[in-house]
Amino acid sequence: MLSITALLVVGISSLAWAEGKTIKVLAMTGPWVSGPVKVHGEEWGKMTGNRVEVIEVAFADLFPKMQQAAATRSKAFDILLAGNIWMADLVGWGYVISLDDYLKDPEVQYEEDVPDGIKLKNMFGGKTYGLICDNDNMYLFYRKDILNNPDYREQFKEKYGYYYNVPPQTLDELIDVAEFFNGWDWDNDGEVEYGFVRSTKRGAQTYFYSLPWVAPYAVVPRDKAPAQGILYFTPDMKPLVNSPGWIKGIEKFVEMGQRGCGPGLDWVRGDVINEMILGHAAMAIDWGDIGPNSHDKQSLVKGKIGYALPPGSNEYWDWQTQQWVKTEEVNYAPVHCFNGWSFFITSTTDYPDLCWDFIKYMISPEISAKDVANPFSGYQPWRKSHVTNLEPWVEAGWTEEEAREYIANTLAVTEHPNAVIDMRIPGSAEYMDVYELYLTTVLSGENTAEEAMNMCAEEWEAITDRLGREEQIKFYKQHLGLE
Amino acid sequence: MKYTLILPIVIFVLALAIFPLIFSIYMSLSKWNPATQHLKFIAFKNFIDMFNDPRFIHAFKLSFAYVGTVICIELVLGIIIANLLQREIAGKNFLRVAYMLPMLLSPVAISYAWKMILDYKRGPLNYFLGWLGIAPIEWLGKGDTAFWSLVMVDVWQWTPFMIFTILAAFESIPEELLEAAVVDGASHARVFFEITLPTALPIIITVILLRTIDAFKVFDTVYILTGGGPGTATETLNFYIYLKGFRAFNLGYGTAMSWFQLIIIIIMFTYFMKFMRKTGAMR
Repeated sequence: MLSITALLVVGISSLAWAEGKTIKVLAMTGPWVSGPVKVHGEEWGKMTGNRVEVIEVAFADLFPKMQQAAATRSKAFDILLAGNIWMADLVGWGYVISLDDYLKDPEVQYEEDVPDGIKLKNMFGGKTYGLICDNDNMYLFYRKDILNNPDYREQFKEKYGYYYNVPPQTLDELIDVAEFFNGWDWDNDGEVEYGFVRSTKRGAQTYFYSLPWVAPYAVVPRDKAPAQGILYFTPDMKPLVNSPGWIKGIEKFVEMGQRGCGPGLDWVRGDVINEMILGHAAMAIDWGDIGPNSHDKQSLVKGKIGYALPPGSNEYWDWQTQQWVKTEEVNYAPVHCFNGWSFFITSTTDYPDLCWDFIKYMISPEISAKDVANPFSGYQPWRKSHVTNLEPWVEAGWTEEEAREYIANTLAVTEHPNAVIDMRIPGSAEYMDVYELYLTTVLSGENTAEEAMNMCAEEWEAITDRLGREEQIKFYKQHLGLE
Repeated sequence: MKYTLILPIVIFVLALAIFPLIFSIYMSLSKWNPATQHLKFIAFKNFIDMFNDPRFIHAFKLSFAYVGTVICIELVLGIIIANLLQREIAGKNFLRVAYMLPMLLSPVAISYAWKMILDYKRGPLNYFLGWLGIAPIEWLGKGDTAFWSLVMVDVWQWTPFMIFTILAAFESIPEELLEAAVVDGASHARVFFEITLPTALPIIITVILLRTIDAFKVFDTVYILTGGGPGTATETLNFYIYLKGFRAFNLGYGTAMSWFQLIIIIIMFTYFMKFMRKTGAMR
């Protein structure tokens, strides 16, 4: 009798599965970012009798893949797990649908539990098209145990003539500290360590790694500018990429490579995370993933990582007055590099309601709280409740104090008045592709920063002309909140 | 009625070969906006832009440098190793199989394997060089070494193709011809340079042509090993076409560059064949 019942249950459940729909999600190659979709896709599938198929594509090909799908009105994907910065393109192609009606669902707790900064990132032209499941911005990670070592601080003072701050406050100080800790065994494990790690390979998100170096010199503080975080263009789309501020930031990025990093230009993002959690590097400026990864099984630095705003500068280039401005206080300008991964529903899907049901499950307070604490998710805290719901963090091996410090720093960067929201205009991927090319020519010594950025500005102008200058200005002003 | 039987295949060929070919010519003379699906005819503007594009010129020169380098190295190695494998040497059969293996592997898998081998910090190549007292080399981290790393991977994978094709040519030469030359007092070197090589020349030329076409199309190793970098040090024409066509989605410009590449290769081969006929290497 029992076996007959079991057979019936299996039969009925497999029948439900067979009768269910398959939702196809396009996402970046895992384990990060697409990993949680697979895990929760199975959970959701079992609950609803449907199926989630994750189609993984390398980061560099993700945007082109979407572009091709949009151009051919392909039904290959129902949900896109895409960069928030691509929103303008996706909306412009008419490839994604507005989610405003769905967000009225009280189960989402959208109004009360989602910070305004995140809501702003989810919107374009007054409508919500994407839903962030990951709050992306870059900040400083440093080895608390090493930088706080009093002997090292004394040795540094002897060499450089001043005591460094923990954490370093300015980019100049960061370079000095990185140089001091570069190329010797400061943790007595028999291996030579590095002062700082960053990505340098072309096609490996290297452009993002340069932005925290550029922004403090190139962004005019909020109270002296027409909008928050103007970094890439002036409001009328004149490129700032070849402004003295931007060039100085790139020169500092290159200087760090020469003084404070390991040799070679084939470093990628995986190296940055690995070198930090394996104890091979003292500092990095990266997305928040180093935090959860430092609590992973392989980590040798559990509880030893500190979090801080990305270092700033004591001067910035004012593009309005065309001069350098000295500041008494450190001028910080964190960058929302990539803004975050967001869920979009395609306009070609046959099952928009079903897609919404799955997205709602993914971004629910309970599921998202687990994901942002998981080292393999690649997601950073974005709901208000993530600060108070520390249970998943403690389960993942954090102390409550460290989890609070980590989340507080993430939200401090998010809420910073000078923070740069990453560019969301049509062609943003192409602009950054071109920028990365010229940035890597500076890193490889092919061009000076000024030569390279002048060429980059020329190409940016050409892209703007090709895409339609007036349209681009309109989009950019919308992005800045000026229209 | 009798033609209706071949109608499906005619439609198939027209749909899958002829139409895309004609459409790609039209595309190379157009600008396509993927958002609006609007295809705007712009005549030769894409081709004019090409010659004002320093990255295109750089990629074009680099492709020729890459193809020239790999073909020369593979040809020399191919002739030498084929000559050795023709002789009675110990482990000849094993070597024949072993040399064939790289050619049978997927270029993507090979590229990932080489990426690990060439890793500055953890790569076995630098590790073994360290045994010899040689400082670690930034194989993929500097412009010139990155170029030579790509050459090294190509040579490793495709020299076997040269070896076995040339070996087949050598072994098809009648024994009596070679023996007669030896009986007449010719040295082994003279036999090789005056009988073996000239007799095998048509096949060697064919294999050079095949490898040249193939090397011009290099993409996977560039994509995986260097991404065209550092800077533009390894941005070959094929990779640049991909960037413009599928990353920037400037399909008209990408198609125009593809057609230009094809035309240049056709011209080059036409002159090459004429030259070979002139010198008597081909009938």
